[in-house]
Amino acid sequence: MAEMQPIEREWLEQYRRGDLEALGKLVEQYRRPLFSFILKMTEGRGDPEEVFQETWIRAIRNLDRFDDQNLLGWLFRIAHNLVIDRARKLRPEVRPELRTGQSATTWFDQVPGGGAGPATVAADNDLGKRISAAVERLPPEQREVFLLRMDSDMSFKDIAKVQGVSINTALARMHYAVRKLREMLKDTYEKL
Amino acid sequence: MNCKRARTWLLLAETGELTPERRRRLEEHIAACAACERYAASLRALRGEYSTEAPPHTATPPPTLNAILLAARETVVQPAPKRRSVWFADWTLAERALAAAAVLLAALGLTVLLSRAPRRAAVVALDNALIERQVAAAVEAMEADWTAWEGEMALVALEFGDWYLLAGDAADEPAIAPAVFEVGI
Repeated sequence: MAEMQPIEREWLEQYRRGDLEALGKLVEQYRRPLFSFILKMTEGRGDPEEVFQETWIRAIRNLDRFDDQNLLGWLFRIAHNLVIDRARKLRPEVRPELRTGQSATTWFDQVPGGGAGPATVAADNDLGKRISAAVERLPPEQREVFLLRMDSDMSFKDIAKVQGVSINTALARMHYAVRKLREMLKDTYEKL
Repeated sequence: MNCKRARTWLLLAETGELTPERRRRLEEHIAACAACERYAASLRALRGEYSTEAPPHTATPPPTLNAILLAARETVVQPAPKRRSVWFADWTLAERALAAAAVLLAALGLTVLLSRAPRRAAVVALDNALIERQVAAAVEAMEADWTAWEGEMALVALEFGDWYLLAGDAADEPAIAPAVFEVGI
């Protein structure tokens, strides 16, 4: 994910000077990548529009902490935290078999993959859609790395910043994601 | 190179985060390792076949945009943090006094080092005028941005080269006791 474009910096500076129209332009500029990410991370759980809105509100209220480097990356980081917060609130809805007796590295591991979203229609010959459906079944932190890499073309250095982990952890999560996807799809696609 | 490292480097190669030398070593390994070559093929297939399935792009719904803009109206926008023009602007009185003393000690040390004439062990004859000019320059620089300074700092060069650093009372700072600095040869 590249640094901010000059026009984006200009809009940000205009907003800092009080131009709300410039803020609106930034919201639209980042709408597609940010909302797409939120939609896939909240698939079947919660309202992605609400998360999108709250992401921007938090960014606005904490703009003095932004270092003017990569606004979209910062927004992804905020969205990541919001998705985690909302998943925590949904913990009582976690499947019973995950509530007791199952060790997990973090609570994040206990939240099941989405699997209930609109892309989970399996009977489809489109391999791309099958991969998308399989991605939805990944554990959240692995799904997040995969989406940030494949959808947003983010470097692992930036992915690590979004997730608040080391680059080695981000790489390991991508490894696990690829391994799981290969396992899930190997019967239908020999190249995997 | 082992396969675990190779597969990590494969991921980094895709993002351009691998150095050219490591990329060369990676290619050599893949050419010789069937398992890693299959792994590389998997990555290519995943990337090639993965449908982003991005939702059709739509503008932000008005209620969402209005809520964002309302929050923006209610928030006092802070300007981008600027680098301070004076690096010691936030120092306390005591910190500035210590810094000034450090500057003077450094000047004293430099004077001693540059001096070629032999000196007595306990007392060093100093160039009073040089010290006075250095002190005046240091104080002037400090006072230019030291709007809250209430103390006084004076340098007295005594007859035999001993010199005392005296600090007057600031509102919250105790007076610094006179000190005699002796410089060995």
